[in-house]
Amino acid sequence: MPQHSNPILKEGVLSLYVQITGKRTFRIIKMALDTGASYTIIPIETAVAIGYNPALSKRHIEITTANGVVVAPIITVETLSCLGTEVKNIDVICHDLPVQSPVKGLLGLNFLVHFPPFKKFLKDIEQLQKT
Amino acid sequence: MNIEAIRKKYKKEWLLIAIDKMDKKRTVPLFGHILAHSPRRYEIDQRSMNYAKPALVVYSDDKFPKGYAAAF
Repeated sequence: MPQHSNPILKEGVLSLYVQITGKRTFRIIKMALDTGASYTIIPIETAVAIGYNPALSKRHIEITTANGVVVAPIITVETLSCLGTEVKNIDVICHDLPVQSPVKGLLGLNFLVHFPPFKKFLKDIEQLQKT
Repeated sequence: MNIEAIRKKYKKEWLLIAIDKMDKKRTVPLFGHILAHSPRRYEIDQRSMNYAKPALVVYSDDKFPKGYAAAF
C-alpha cells in the first residue's frame, strides 16, 4: 500500500460517506472519490433497497472492469448527498464492486462537478490551460 | 451507539446499521444500532434489500485486504 503524508489518504483510497435517496428510503454507504469515473456507481443492493429495480431500466452503459467489459443499467435516483452537497435527479450506474473492496461504490465526475471544492479545482485547471 | 465504535466492535464484517442520529451538514452518520453483521457481503445485501427504513451499509474497515490495491 502506498504511503501518504496526508492522513485522509493513508488507506490508499479516499472514501466518503454518501447518502443515496430513492422512492422508498435512503441508504448511506462508503464510496471512493474517483475523478477517473465519468459516472457515479452504486451497488445493485442499494438501488433495490431504496426502491428501484435496475433490471427494468431501459438505459444501459458499457463499463470496463477488472473482469472485462460489462453492460450495466443506469437509473436516476432522487438525491445523492456527500459532505453536505446534495444533487437531485442524478444518473447512477448500478454495478457491484469486487467483494474485496471496503467501499461499495464510486463517486464519479457527474457528482463531483456539483461539489464546490471540485468546481474551484476545474476553474484553476481552466486558468492554467489558458496561460 | 457511536458508528465508529460499532465498526470497531465487528472486525472484518459487513454491517447493516439503523441510523439514530446524523450530521446532515457533513452527511455523516453519528449514532445507530446494529441490525445485522456478517463477513459475507451478500448476506448483508439481502438483509438491506428487505429493510425499508434508512440505514447504513458499511464494512468495518476502510483498508483493502493485504496484497490488494484500488485501481478503479
